[in-house]
Amino acid sequence: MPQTTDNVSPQHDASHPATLTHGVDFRSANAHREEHAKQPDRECLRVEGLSLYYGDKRALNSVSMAIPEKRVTAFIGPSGCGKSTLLRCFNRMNELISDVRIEGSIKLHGDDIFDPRVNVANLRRRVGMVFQKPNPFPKSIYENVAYGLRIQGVNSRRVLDKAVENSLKAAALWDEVRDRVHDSALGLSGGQQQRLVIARAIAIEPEVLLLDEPASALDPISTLKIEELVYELKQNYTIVIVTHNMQQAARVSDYTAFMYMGDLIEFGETKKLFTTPRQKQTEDYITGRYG
Amino acid sequence: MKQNLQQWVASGNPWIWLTAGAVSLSLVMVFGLLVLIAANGLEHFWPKQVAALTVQAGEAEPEILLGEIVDEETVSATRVREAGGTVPEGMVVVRRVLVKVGNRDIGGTDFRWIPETEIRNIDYPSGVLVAERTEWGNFYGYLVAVREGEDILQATDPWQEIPPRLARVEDMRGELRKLERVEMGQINAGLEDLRLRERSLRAQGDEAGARALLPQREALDARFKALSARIAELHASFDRDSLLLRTSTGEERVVPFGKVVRIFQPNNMHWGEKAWHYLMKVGEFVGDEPREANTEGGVFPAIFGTVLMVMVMSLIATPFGVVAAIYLREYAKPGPVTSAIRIAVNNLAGVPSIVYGVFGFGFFVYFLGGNIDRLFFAEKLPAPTFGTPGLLWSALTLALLTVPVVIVATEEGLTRIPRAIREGSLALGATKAETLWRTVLPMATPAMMTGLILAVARAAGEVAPLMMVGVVKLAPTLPLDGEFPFLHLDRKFMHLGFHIYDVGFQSPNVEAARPLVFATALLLVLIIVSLNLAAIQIRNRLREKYHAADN
Amino acid sequence: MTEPTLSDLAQSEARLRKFRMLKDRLFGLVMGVGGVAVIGAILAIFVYLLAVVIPLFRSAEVTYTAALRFEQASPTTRLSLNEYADIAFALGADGSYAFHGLEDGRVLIRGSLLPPGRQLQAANDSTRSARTLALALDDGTAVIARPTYVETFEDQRRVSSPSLAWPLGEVPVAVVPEGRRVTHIAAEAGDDGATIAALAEDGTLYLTSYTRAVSLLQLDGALESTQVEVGRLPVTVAYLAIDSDQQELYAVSRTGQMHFFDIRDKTAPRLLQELQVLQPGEEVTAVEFLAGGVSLLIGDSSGQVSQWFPVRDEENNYRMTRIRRFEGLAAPVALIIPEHFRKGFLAVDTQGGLGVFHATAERTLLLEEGLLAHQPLVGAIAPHADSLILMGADGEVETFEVYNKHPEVSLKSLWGKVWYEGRAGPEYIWQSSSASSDFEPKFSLTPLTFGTLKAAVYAMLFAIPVAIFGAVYTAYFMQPRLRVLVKPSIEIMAALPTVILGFLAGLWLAPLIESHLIGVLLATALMPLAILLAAYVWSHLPETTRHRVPDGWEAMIIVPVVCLVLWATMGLSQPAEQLFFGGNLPRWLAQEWGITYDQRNSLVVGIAMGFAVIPNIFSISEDAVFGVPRQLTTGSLALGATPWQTVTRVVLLTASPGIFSAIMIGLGRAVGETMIVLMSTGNTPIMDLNIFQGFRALSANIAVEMPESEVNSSHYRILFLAALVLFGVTFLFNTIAEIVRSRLRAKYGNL
Repeated sequence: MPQTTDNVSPQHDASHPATLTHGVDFRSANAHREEHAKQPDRECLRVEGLSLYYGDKRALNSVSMAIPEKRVTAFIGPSGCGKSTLLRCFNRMNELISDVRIEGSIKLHGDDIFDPRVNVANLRRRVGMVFQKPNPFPKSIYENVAYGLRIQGVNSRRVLDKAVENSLKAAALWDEVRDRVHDSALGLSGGQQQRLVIARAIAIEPEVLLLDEPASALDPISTLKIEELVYELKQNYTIVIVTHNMQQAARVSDYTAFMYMGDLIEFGETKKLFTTPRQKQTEDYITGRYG
Repeated sequence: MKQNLQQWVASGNPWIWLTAGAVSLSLVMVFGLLVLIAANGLEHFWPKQVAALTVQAGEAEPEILLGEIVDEETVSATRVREAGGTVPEGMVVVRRVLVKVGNRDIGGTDFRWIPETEIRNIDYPSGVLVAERTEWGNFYGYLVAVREGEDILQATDPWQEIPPRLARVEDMRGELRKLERVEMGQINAGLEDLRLRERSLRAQGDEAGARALLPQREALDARFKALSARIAELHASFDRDSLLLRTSTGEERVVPFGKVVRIFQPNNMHWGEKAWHYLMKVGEFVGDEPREANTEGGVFPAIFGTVLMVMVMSLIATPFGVVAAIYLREYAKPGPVTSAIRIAVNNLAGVPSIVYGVFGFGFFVYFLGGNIDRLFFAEKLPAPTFGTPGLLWSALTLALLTVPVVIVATEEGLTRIPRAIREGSLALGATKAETLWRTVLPMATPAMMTGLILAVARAAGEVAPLMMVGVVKLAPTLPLDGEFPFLHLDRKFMHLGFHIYDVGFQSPNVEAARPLVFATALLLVLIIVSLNLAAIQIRNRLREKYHAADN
Repeated sequence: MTEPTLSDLAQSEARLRKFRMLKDRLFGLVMGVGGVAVIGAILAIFVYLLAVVIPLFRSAEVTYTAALRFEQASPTTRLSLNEYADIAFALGADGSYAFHGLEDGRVLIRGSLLPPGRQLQAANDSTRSARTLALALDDGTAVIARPTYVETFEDQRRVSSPSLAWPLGEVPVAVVPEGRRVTHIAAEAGDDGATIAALAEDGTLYLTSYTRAVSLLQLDGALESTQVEVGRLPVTVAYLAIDSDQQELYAVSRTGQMHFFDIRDKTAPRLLQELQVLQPGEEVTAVEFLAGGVSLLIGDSSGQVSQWFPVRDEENNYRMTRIRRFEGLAAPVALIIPEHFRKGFLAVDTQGGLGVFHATAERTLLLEEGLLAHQPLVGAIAPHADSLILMGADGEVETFEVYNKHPEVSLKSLWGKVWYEGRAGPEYIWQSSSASSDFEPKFSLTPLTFGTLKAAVYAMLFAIPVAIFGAVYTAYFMQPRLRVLVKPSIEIMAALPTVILGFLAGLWLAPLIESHLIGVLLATALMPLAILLAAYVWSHLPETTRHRVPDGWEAMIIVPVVCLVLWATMGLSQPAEQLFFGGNLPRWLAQEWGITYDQRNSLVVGIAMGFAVIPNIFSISEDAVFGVPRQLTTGSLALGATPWQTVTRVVLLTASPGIFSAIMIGLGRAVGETMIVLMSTGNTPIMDLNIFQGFRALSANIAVEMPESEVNSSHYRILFLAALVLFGVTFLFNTIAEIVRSRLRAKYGNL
């Protein structure tokens, strides 16, 4: 595979899913899972001394962490603790807000994403994102999924058809919408819309998928579906999920970071963090003493 | 529960009813106005019965008046007496009728108020004819005979003779117009072109080059002579046939067919014929050129001019307004400067249109136009090309006037597009331009459309600035024709709104022109109200759509 | 693999990305440049208007251009310039004259105005730049001469041929009885004759009039003359002057004694007034007529120039009155040079100081001390007032270029009362043009601004109550289902072209009101009463009937009442007029109360323009009332307030900033509206509060006069100023409204 960007590391090259499994074999999902679990954890994103200011107000306070590849990492913490802010740093979404200042670095497979030479659009292609509320474009389901590809210059009908189908399948939406992919996306239910948005995000084959409280606006059944989907998707993607729901974090994530008032209090394997937290604050939070 | 007056007043209900009354009054005014315009505008084309009134003023000889009763009112006896009418003692008020008596070439006036006290008898004799003429207005009277040359045709029913002869004249009129307008126009344009080329060659000192143009000029002169002869010949035979008509007082008149537009007998028509007549008249109004100093005929050039000007204006205002709105909303750094600009742009929509007219007159016509003439049309000077009011300057002035409307509407549309949509697109790796082009702008199109429609509705009704930068009461040519370069942006044009002003206020015969002005006003109101309703509709649909996208 | 996958596509990715970035930057650039350009362009309107207006208030500039020398036989006493300022006429003290080319001062034509053997005894003082010269000879006769220029074009080059014209012929005519000598002379000559006043050595004043008998057959008829002795004046006359209409004669002594004669009857001159024109201790040093020959400018030894003209008093007598004074010159006035076509003049003092003034505008355009190298004896200004020459004792000539385009405009002449020539006192007048060429345009914007405000005030008187009451009802009481229909219906009024409203107002409403004035006044008075009556009756109807109409539909019940009132009052109007007002109320008003009635008057405008602004005010105040948070009103209602108490104490109070801004926006529209005021008033620029009279508004004035004004003239620029005033006023109103509104939004945004 050729070098496609200025800042792709050799390490990344080796690990990139060179040929995405365009048809995920869902029947043997369990087999995959077992296989997946055996693989050793490799680093995908490294955060070093990251501080963020909104004007004079500090929202992140020298956060450092390493997010492993093809695992689900959850950020938990009370509202306003900076977990969404940190998430939005990974694809530099924070830059849309004026008056934001960032110190420190984030490395994606070894490359600093804040390097001025980095092309933000390309970074965002590699680091996909799903927002709290589903935000489909007022276009057809098909066009929503094809949107990212079209922007990348893909116009071949055949390629697009295939990619749309695969993405919708990967997002477990295909069976529900296969007959009406050309209908407006606004006609879907909230849970369907959120899965569509996920399909849209994975259609451009990102390396990392950022989920910002993806189920907070949904009903319990849709939430469950999204959680299952996250479980499936970690076969191929590094997933970072922000949630205020500790049960959800415990259910879906491999690693959990607990944040409080802009500080990263504790970061570790989910099981360990929830059973034997090292910090008092973490314990207080997960036992529901505040939040 | 019944209340006494004191309780009723204390409850404050009278005030509520007064506020309700204000709404009622507003509604009565709006709909009253629309009904007034519609009734007057539509009624004009219906062929009215021609009445024969036996009028006796005082002890004078009774006189028979032929005409259409167009209006009636009740006035005080004094006013009638002051106007010369006879009113018996003791009467307080008198009804009087307005009769359109026509025959302006004989009687001098088109209209007469007749008090009911003077009317002895009214009947509607059959056989009365109405002849619409190209000059002197309508003729009311009876047909005596049809003449060909000096001979009176006696063998046949004269009514049989009229249609073919009218058709003949109509054909010839068409041909004459073609010869005079098109062919003569081409020759004249060619001559003018030669003259200018000669002049600029002379100015450069190229005497030989100027002389070399002579054969071309001679050829054109020869064509000119031939054409003039042909036109003169047509004119001669054009006036061959004539009508011999008699007025109610027995006076006879010869009216050439060439001066007649239409002849009909309203008292003999059944409603089907009247409806057909009505449609023909409406067609004439919409599709024909004006006659008799704009007081008769149609308003086609005014419709054409209005539409063309508004189209050119939209072509200028829309892209610029949209660009400015995108800049303000998406690119300009938000801060006090941007909000100050936004307020200023908002407020420009409220600046009087006459101010734009002054600006257009000074800046576009004299400054820009004058300089364009000096640079590109020097050979035509001192006759101005662009240094005079014209279509282009009107369109530009109105574009300036309506750009704030487009900006405000587009900005509102852009603001309403949820942030999540933009973030969604950016998160997929789209650049800012791609996000705007592929998601935001398509979603904002209805808003832009609303802006455009409101701009068009405003521009179509503006008159004051146009009076300075390009409209005329009667334009000899349309701004779009077969002559190169086809669209003549330098020409002056006619406009529906200005037509209303001009005919209603500058015309010598306001009373006769009034129905036509009402019809023109109705047309303009229809256009503008429907554009506005469309804009409101689009806006409402748009809001629903975003509502859906918001959830 | 046969299908291209995304990874294959990646090969072209780098190129594509570059292209996409380029597109992104280009798009941003286009939007930035385009956006700034468009916004700049619309804001530039203000700048352009200002740029056109500013030259009005520039002061004059006099720039030295060249020094020349005229060959002269004797000292020059009178000087004039031709239209193009390239030829100067010089009259010598001995009666000789010369035309000089101004490029190098060389003599073009030279000669003598006197018959051979005669000596020059006196020449007239007030020559208005040597346009009519009267030369008295030593035998009691005089000649009248005028330098003239014929402009011809040869090979597209202009050639000026100077020559002399003799209104009374070259043969001298008698101006005093034989054997007397003349010390002072004044003359005016017209097409059909001349009037000459001459003062003999012994102080006797004689008036001689020559008229040319014009017969149909003979255009150059013989001269007929009359001569009378006016009398002997008790003072030593230093200046004699006759006005250009040959109706007034002035004799002024050096000490400021003025004798003012009425000479309309040439055979019987009458002394009208004897007066002192100076403060004690001062001396008259120069006397000249202003252009038009009505006002007399008197320069004195204190450096002041005062303007005098005859003013008619209540007894119909003319009295010479000092109108205004111009100060600023440091030394005694040596020379007054009036402009040819405007009421402006230049004055030179004895120390070489120069002042440029405009009489009517009371404007000092330039004051410069020591501009001139030496004291000039004579001077002249070119007819276009763009060029000035001054000449010293020994033939030294200095030429100057003058920039003085708009002297007649000053803040005082635009907004203040100005005393124009021939008027009884200072007045506000707008009269921009007239048939006569001697006419001075009168540019007072005050009557026009008054007209604009009059229109706006009457419109608002009608619109504010209807619109705001309507807004309160629609927003607060009306049923929502009805509201969505009613609101756009009223708002659509705003979109109606004003030309249609103007047409209806002028051609339909104005005659209707004229013939149904009583009906209109009755309707205004009865409408509220009728509505209240109907409401009271309604409240006493059986409940079953009342319940058929749901709450919030009151407005629909009132509609027939409104129609009925209108129908009834209009029907009553004519009988009432016949019974109580002699059948014609407008005439009755004029006879009984002295109120003049124009058919197109302020009442018509008030109704029509009120109609036009109601939707603006209605729409914005309705939004404001509707936007009052429900918890405020429910809170008030819960405390036991009636709905109307809630409205007045809570809703209106909360919405008042919004209503205020609605009124401001309505006012802005009323001030700038053009077609309605143009079409439904008579457009006479008078200042009168009478509701039954018309007016002329700023906007209508622009629409009427702009197309006819000469580009870059004062008139043109003043019309631009009027537009700028409209722009400024409406912009101000709108901005205040906008700020108030956004404050309101911010205040209740979080409620």
